Amino acid sequence: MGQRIQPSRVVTNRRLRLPRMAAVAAFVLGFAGLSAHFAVSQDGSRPVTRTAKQPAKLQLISAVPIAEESEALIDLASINRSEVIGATAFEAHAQCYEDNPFPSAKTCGVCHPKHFREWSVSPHAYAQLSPVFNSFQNAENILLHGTLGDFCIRCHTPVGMALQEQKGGSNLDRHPTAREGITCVVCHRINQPNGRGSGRTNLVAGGENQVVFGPTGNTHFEDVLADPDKYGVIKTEKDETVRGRDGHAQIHKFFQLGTSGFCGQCHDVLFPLGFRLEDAFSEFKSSPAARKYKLNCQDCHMGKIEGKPSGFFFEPVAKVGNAESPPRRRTSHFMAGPDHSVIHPGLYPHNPDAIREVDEDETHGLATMAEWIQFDWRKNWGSSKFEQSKPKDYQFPTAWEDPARRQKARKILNQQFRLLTVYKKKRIEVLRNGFGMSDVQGMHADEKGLHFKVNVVNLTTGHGAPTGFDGERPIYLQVVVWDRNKQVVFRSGDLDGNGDYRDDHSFFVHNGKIPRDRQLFSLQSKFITRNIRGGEREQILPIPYSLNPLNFDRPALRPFTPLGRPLGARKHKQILEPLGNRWAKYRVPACNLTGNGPYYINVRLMAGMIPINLVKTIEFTGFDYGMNAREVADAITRGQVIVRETGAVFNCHEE
Amino acid sequence: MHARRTNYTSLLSVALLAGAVIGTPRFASAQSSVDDAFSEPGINDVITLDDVPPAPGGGTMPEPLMPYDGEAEGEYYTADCFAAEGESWLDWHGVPEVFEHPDANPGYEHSYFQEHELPEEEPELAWKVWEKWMEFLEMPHEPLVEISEFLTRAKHDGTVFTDPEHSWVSGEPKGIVPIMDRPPLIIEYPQKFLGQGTIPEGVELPTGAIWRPTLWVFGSNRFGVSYRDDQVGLGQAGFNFGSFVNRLALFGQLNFTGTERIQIGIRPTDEEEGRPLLTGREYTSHFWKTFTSGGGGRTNLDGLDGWNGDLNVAYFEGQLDEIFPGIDPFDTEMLDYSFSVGRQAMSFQRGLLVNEDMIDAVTVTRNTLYGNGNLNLRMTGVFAWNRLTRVAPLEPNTRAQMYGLFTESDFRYNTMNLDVGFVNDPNRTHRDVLVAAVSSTQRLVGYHNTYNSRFHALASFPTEGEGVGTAFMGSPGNVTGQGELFFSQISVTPHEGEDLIYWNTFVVVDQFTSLARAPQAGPLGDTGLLFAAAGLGLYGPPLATVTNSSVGTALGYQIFLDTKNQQIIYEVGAREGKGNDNFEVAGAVQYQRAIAQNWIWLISSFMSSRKGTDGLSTGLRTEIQLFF
Repeated sequence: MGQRIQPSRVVTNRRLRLPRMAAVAAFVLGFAGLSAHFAVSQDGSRPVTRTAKQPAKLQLISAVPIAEESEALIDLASINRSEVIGATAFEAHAQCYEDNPFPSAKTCGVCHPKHFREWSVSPHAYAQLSPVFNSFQNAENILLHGTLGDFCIRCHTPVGMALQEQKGGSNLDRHPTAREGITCVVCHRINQPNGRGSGRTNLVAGGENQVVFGPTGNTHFEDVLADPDKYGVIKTEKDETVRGRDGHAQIHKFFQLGTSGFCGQCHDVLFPLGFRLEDAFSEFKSSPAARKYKLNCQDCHMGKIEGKPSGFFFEPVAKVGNAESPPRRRTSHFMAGPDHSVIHPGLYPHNPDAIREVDEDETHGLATMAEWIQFDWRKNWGSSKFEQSKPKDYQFPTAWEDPARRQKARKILNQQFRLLTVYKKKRIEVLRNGFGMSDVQGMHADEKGLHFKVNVVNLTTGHGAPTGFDGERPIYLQVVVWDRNKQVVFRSGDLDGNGDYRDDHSFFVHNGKIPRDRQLFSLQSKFITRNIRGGEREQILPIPYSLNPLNFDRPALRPFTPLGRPLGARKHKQILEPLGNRWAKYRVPACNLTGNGPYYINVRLMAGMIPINLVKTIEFTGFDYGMNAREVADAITRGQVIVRETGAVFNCHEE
Repeated sequence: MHARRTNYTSLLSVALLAGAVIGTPRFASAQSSVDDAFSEPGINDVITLDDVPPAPGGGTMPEPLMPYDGEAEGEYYTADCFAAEGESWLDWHGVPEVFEHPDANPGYEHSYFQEHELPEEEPELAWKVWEKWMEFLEMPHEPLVEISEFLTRAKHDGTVFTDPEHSWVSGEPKGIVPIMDRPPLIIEYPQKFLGQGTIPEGVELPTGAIWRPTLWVFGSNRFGVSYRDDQVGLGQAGFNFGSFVNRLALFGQLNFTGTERIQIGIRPTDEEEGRPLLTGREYTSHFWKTFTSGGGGRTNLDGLDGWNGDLNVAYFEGQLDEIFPGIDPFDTEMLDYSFSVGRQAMSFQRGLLVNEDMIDAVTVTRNTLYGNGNLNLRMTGVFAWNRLTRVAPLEPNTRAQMYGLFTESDFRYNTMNLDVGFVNDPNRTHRDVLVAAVSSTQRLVGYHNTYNSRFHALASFPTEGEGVGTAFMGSPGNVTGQGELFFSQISVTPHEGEDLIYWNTFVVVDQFTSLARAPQAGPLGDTGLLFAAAGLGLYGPPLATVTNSSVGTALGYQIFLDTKNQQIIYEVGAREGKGNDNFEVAGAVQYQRAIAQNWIWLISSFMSSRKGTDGLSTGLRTEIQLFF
């Protein structure tokens, strides 16, 4: 029922005689009350007070290498950083690697192979390698006349930005650790809570012997250090005269690493202009998961099962030589999401056996990134079948003329495929734990046609579904109805020539080539930009170019909190709220029916990474790794997965 | 006046509009809980997927790509499969050998259609009429595109789409395009604004928050040359002048975190508290054609001096749980209250309800709330205690106070704003007013195109009788009036291109009074260029924007050229108010283009005719904007 304002409550021609202070107090109390109402409306109860022992005041810990702890409290982090970064940014690669302020995940993987393997195929590891991301931020920077700066890429390669690398350009030219995106040091070299900083975090610099930060501190590591007979000598400082395995100087406990707020420092993306691009963390804070069940992000996204609280592994977290460390809680580092790789499988997942730098020999990896791009994996180079049947005059690039090298590459690729396959399973796992779908229901026929509906449910308690970059997440229903002669009588959620569903962003629809899908069910939020006049309209990119021809971003000139957004752009959320559901109702028009019933219904809940119209919109910037837009688009379309599926038979009498 | 009757009418009209939208079944359907998501009994013939025969197209009904086995407790990939054993620590066990990329063969065919093979359903009559009307409005678009291309010698953005391949994603290889450098701010120390480099260590506050104080100074400058020749009748306001005018805005921001900051701003060349000229602000100007104005006595000027050091903006903005992280260390409480306090600009209902560029206020906001059908609710409470502009263009009221609750919520099909505010004004002439507003923004999906729409309904209720005074632009009216404002904005983007055709209309019943308004313009500036002041000098709106018993409309065509670096707007509009001689009609053209990285050049002109006056009113202005 619609809400109605009660006219009788309005006082006319009479001065409201509330004392001023009372009015202010009432206003504040009323606002707080309303907020509380919405806060509890989801689960119907107020949050209980946390009974767990709350931590003492958060302690700021300086990043002092253990070797220098006895000296005065010098901020070595900043000193090392400035010196070493200067070297890495402007001097030769070789020196950079020797004195690396931000060690590669490969270094960590020596003792933490499980963590590395999971991370290596995770969205975090793909963050900077993604050609779509790079072209997207290039396009935004061009359209905003350079004022976007490092806003996007700061989250995707904090190491690269700390090293003052260029924002654009190819990943082939980046520092190896910068290419790793959200690599080990991005989380484990943070010693201060950064709040909702949109990824602008300070990384503590230093080599692999530097202090790292973890959720539990030094206890277990001390056990390893105390048992050299079992684990060998661990070098906690850089000393060429000592033989042993490199290890951390210390592991400092950083309480916030285990909280949702730590994830929130990147997963609430608030542009300085006030645009809320992503607010997964804010959604979480209003959710039953936080308020009722007292969960945190890690419970669902770093546990045994992706996407729901399922407990953690209890096992060794490190393997030093052949000895495993004492078992304890171990978190999964898959952290699967809807994204998937579209790039050459030699480049991703991260594989130390695969990649070497230009100035390294093959003991460091089989081939450089540039060489891998030349390797035609689709033609099965290196496989027995290909090698035995290839024409004699087959031309290979110089780097791959050696058949033994091709076979090595093929072996590595098979490892990559296996890992990608596992990740795909994890991706489907997290999606299926996020989305539910009912059977086909409500079937009936009338003079307007056949009617049916399905219910799509957000199964999570922690955030909307989809969440994060929901303005570009195609989660939708693909529906086909056909008769007994297999003649299709209805489609929704079908894709246009590019691979987009037929909404207003489809270029085929926009250009009037095919009709819009008027019954499309999609959970993709929409970027809305303000028109100079005439309200607002949806756009693929949230840049309000109708307002003026020069979009030039600076900090907001007014508080952005009262509106929760800037004046020029916003996001119209279409997501399912936690535990929310929405009916998708369909009608097969009577004019489409053939009289050849029964009619069969197939409904799939599909999940894609991004819509292809985004690829087309940013294609003017070019794509990395020599890819063209069509290749990227096809890979994205092929990567769509069926999250849920159902079907039904519609028996009806037709006259 | 029958204040009581009309008050009830106004309330009912607002309530009915709100109720009609909120009560729509589609919203009700979204409000069912998860518990009954699957509870509706299936009607007969609901069967499982296994019973469905092969799908058309030669394929079989696909299975999900990978049968999900994670639902049963304990069935998951363990990390053991990555055990570091064997010849390489990259080998892993427990997972079958895979020789193909998992996406190489998705297991199902995507249904690509360039041409849709299914018959199209006949639209309903209402849609037929509506789309015919919109097609009629679109008719001038194509000739205007040709005119624009001729005038600018630039290529229309739509013309790049005339290539038959234009809908397709390109298969042409293309190198990475370099991006331009970030334009620096005037001052950015120690951190650059969105610049590369290390983020420094933060300073820990006693509250536990980590702040990284950084100073940023930036701003913009607008320099314009204007000519205006208004033909006015007896007792009507008007402008006649030619001037050079400048507007400089400088901002300093002390940034602490992503959510906390202090910002101050000055506009040293224009002053809000200058002499109460017709546009409220006094811009530093030189008149090369002596200024005269009609209406209630004439004023002659050779220049204006608006130099000042007033703080136009001075506020702190932050978030409670970010400033006091210790009160919710586990992030499980809803303490993310955002607030701002100080002198700030403020706008609600697109300026129809509140349109202030300088008001002293405190705001408290909750964001990202959901439930009960809301997908994303924002609630803002406002208390303003100073500089409330109620009587444009007179100086702002320093005694009136405003209380308001403003909300915005996303639903499945639309975004709704429900707002209510009250002004408590000790000035016995102006008096108190309660204003309520509702608006809905949505895209209407037609059969041939999608139509952007936004509808507002606002009503003002004087709680102690109507206040009298000069409402706006010298026209007589009530400062606090009873009335309603209905405002609609509709636009469409024609196929092929990003152009915009808009058609905006307002109807004011009696004397609608907004809560607060910028001194330069009334609340109707969103109707069109013809209803908006330039915001630079005395160049006011070509058509009157008095909000008492009037109706107005504007039809505009915005055409983008040169990959959106240039744009032209053609607009026609009309307004009719009370009285026999209060009909006006006007046309305007505005051209803008971006120059280099941070300049805009604008030129705009209009021509209008007013019933009861001889000749045409004309105006021409050009402007250079610089951002730094």
